[in-house]
Amino acid sequence: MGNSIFDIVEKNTRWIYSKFGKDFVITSRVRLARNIKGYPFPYNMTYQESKEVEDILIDIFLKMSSKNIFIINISSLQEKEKRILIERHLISKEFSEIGPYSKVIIMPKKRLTIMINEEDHLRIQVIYPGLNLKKCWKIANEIDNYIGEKLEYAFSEKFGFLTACPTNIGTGLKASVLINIPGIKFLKREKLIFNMIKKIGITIRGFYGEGSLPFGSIYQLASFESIGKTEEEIIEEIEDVVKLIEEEEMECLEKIKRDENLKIKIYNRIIKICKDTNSDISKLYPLISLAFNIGVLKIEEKEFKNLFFSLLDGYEKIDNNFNFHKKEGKILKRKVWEIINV
Amino acid sequence: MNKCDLCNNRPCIAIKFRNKEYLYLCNHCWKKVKIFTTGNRKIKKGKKCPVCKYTIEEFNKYGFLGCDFCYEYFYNEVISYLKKLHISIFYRGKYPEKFKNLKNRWQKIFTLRNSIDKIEIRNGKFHF
Repeated sequence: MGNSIFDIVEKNTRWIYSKFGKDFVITSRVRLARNIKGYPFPYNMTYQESKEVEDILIDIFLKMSSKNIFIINISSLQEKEKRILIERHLISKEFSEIGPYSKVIIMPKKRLTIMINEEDHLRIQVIYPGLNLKKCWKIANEIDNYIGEKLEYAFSEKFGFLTACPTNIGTGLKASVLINIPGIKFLKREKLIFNMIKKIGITIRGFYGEGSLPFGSIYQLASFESIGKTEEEIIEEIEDVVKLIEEEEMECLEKIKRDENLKIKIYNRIIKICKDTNSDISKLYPLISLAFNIGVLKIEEKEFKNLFFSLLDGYEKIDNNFNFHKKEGKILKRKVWEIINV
Repeated sequence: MNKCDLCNNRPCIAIKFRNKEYLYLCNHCWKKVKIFTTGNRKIKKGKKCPVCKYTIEEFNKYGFLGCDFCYEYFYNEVISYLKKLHISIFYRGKYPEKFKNLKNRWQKIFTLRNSIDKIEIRNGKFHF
């Protein structure tokens, strides 16, 4: 296996960050949690039960598509391979610590990832670049219906789809988006906005989901409740919130564009970080993103994306909780210095 | 031949687990022992699911349930837990394939009930 898993994932999931640049929404993701009736949930299974569930599900997916499907055994992955799966948001960091019969199935053409024996027997995940929650839901729903014809889900009329953790019951649906808000962040308005949206049941998370930190000005917004609403209502609610925040971000960017003093402030801050060899490089991303979005940074979108990836790769040595360590990034700072001084 | 890592008794098979580590399990332990507990799992007192043997103490401690039947068996505890998190307990989402007939039947019942409510009796005759 070795590097080939890394190469497979790296090559087949580059599209995930294709909207980095001017787009406000970087990725949309829909996840459905399901369990098979009659089997204990993963944390309460014997080895035999775990293997049986794995075999049932793998069989269904292989019959669905024998081409363009990659089945990865989590327990035999190298650290580098687990890392790229987490970095590309294909598995959660908790999943990398699961038992011997846990698998991840990637079907790149459908933008589909399946997790077997994570917290639940089955987790169906669809990721699309940009704001595309409805499309993600459509695909996830089709896969869910297909599997639902082949086996009996754990389901009750009272609680809906049953999951290991009661907070996921009902639709079993989690919808989330990765958004970039450099304007809101620069004008220090993020706390006010996040407090407002928390009241309507949307949670704010870091770059790698629950328990992780944001990367510069990139945050994850996720639905909280999966019961009490229909799937379509959950999707619409988060889309409405995204549109409100986008309006706010556009207003912040306009305000900054009209104010020469603020533009100079941004420029000076970038210079200051680049000159300070000890400063953390994560502070650069939101400023570069802002400078690019208001037209102060005169570079092509492609060059900006490359710069972003360099900033992200600079965090290769992040800790085991997938939080960003302080990184000095001297070479990168020099590169940014050269761009900004053109 | 290696002995079982858990019971240290019977001969066993190897399961590759966590990178290059191997776990050696006999057929008995493979069928009976849960992956996420030790071999010497103590039987706890108190309310226990008759299907999966998961206990209410474990639910209170970890926040997870053991199987689908736990939702019936620990019904009151689950409702109370969800209420504390201000999570509404009224399912309105999709039904899986095998339950769709049930959903259709309920919808018909609601429609009929609504129709019956609208019926008036005037002068000894039904008016719809």
